[in-house]
This record gives sequence, C-alpha cells and structure tokens, in this order.
Amino acid sequence: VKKLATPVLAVLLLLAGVGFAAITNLISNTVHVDVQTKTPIEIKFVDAGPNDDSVKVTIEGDNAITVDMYAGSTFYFNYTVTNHANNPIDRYPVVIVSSDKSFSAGLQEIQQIVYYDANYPDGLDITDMTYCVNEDGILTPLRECNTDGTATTVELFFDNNGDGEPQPYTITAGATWWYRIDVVTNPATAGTYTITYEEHFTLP
Amino acid sequence: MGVMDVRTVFAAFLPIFLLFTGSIVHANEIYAGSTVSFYFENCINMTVDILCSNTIGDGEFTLYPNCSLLNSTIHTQKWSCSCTNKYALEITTSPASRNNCTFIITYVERLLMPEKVVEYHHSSSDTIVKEPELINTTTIERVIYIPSENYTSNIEYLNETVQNLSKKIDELYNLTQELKQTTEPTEGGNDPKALAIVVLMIFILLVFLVKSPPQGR
Repeated sequence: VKKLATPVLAVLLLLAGVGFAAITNLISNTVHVDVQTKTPIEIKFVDAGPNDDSVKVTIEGDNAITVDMYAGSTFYFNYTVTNHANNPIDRYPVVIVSSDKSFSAGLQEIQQIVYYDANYPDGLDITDMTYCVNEDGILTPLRECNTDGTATTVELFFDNNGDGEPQPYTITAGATWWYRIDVVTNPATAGTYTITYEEHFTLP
Repeated sequence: MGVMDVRTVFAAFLPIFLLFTGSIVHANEIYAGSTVSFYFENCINMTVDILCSNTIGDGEFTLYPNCSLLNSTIHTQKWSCSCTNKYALEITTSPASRNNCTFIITYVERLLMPEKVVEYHHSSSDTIVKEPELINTTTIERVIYIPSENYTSNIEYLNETVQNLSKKIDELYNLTQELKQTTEPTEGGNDPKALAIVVLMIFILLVFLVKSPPQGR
C-alpha cells in the first residue's frame, strides 16, 4: 500500500493541476442586489389660503386640502412636485374635487382657474384648457362635463395645448417645480370642497 | 461553568448565529423610475433573475443593453444579456413600480492573462530548469507560472542552504584531516618502539627454543 500511495498521489496531483489549468480562464460569478422601489414623485401642498373671514383652507396631509368658504370667494393652493428618480418622468397631473353637494352641469361652480408656475409668474387663465377626465380616459371640456347633477366628484386635467388629448408634463431628474392654482368660485354656489392632487406618470 | 462549557455553548450557537446574520437582508431603497447600473470589466455571458415580493407589472423592469426577457411569472423574471468586456448593465424601473425585489446577476468572466509556463528538459544526468517563458499550449509538460518574486526568494533560500552545507562540508573535511594526522603514525607501522619490542620478543622466543633439550628419547 505504501508503495502505491506515492504514485497514486502524484497522479491525483497531476490531474488536479491539469483540471485547474483548464478552468482558470473562465470564472462564473454571482451578484445579489436587493432593491426596494418607492414612489419617485413627491407632491406637497406648501401653502393655501387666503384663510380670511370668507375662505378657510386647510392642508390635509401632503396632497389634499379642504376648502370651507362663502360662495363667490377665491381661494388658492400652492404645491411642489419633486422627481427623486435619476431619469426624467412624464407626469399626468390631475386634480380631484369632491363636494358635499352634487356638481352642476358644466361645473358652473368654478368660474375661473388661473395657473402659475416659473414660466407663468403672472398667471395664465386655464379655464378653457381644463378638461374633465371621464372613466374611459377621454377628456371633456370643462363646460361640457357630463355632471348630470348627481356627481359629487370630478377629475380635472389641464390640457395646455387644448387638443383634448392628454399630453405628459415631463419633469427632469432630481428637479423640484412649484405651482399655484387660483380658483374663483361662482356666487351662486356654496359648500365644502376637498381637493386632492394626484399624478400618474410613465418613463418618457 | 468551566472553560470547556463556555466553548461548547459558543460552538453550539455559532451556526445559529451565522444563519441568523446571513438571513438579514439590507434592501437598497431606490426611487421608481430610476436606473441602477452595474459595471463588469470582463464578461462573456450573463443572466439576470429578478425575484419580487409583489406582482411584476408589464414593463416594470427594462434591462439594457443587449438584453432580452426569456421568461416571466407573477413574481419572477429571467433575462439574458449578451455582455462584453467593460459592460455596464442598466436596470431601469418603471415609475409606477412598488416592489421589493432581488436581482441575481450571474455572469461568466474571462480572465485574459498570458499563460506563462516553466519548461523542463530532462536528461539522464541532470534536470535543467529554464527561465519562465511563453510557449504554446501543446507543450507536454508544464506547470502554473510562479511570479518571479517567489523564484527570487526560493533562490535566495537555496543559496543560503548551499552555503550552510558547504560550510558543514568544510568543517567535516578539516576534522577529517585532523584525525588523519593524529592516526597516521600508528597506521603506517613505523613506530621504532613497537618495532623494537617485536624484535625483542622474537629473539627471546628463538633463545627459548634453542636452549630447551629434546624430550621423549
């Protein structure tokens, strides 16, 4: 047995060496990465008002406000949107308005909407560029919204090219943009409104 | 509790501790819609397995470049990527993604390093080791190249050993010479005193034989 041990060991070492030499140039590696994704768009109401004797606006959380006012008053809300992702994102922002009373046909409760951002610091009347979003995603001009007197919630989209097709608003990676909306209400209506801001988004 | 008891308890709980620590997963939080990149210096083939706790939506992950989706289930996706050297894998998540996923990237790496071997030439009298050189792979006998630093240290060690052995041989040679000088007179048989004693003994023996009368007549 001792006589056989040495040559057998030598052969095994030789085979091991040959095998090692054959696989040295190719190495298989594995990388494990655990990733948890979270929403890239941060929306935040930062200001609302005017909170005087006629209008009381309260920020509820980051993306909702409640409005308690006398009819015919004007209220505003100011919000920011931040893209935390490292890619640009196409946004489809919508404003959802809920009321304790049903809306009239053509949403006569809203008399005028004025829009502000960094490009429009003096404001832009977007009343005629505001659309209702139907359940099938089709846009309907504000004054033609099919609120048959029973709806208590409407979803509004600002279509800035006025073609009735929803187009995205692209926010660059890491950017924070601010917006302000002024809403002039009709004197013929009164009530308590909850306004919720949402964004639907995709990659460009 | 003695020392052995503590060691026994420690040894018993060590695997459990390692299992527990190994199971802790620290997930990297990223914003949906972001792109994460992984760089590979050498790569010839790659597969990416995506395992998610929530349902994977259509287009939730996009792998680029040269990647194709092989198969997908509710919670898994398997991608294949034709990677090359200096390959940057980009995984882009959909902005609508809300998930907790593990990416398992398996890739084959080709190490492009010259194959240096040491060539041995055997003869009946001696073995000559040549300097490492680049030879083709058809060489019958070859060994993995050992960097020159190891050779240098080995040669220094061998030189030191040879010097020590030479020193020992010199010492043994000197000792042998001393012993030889000490024993040379007796071994040669030229000692006058011994010769005189031998001659005297022979003379006494002869005298004794001559003077003794014959017996038995």
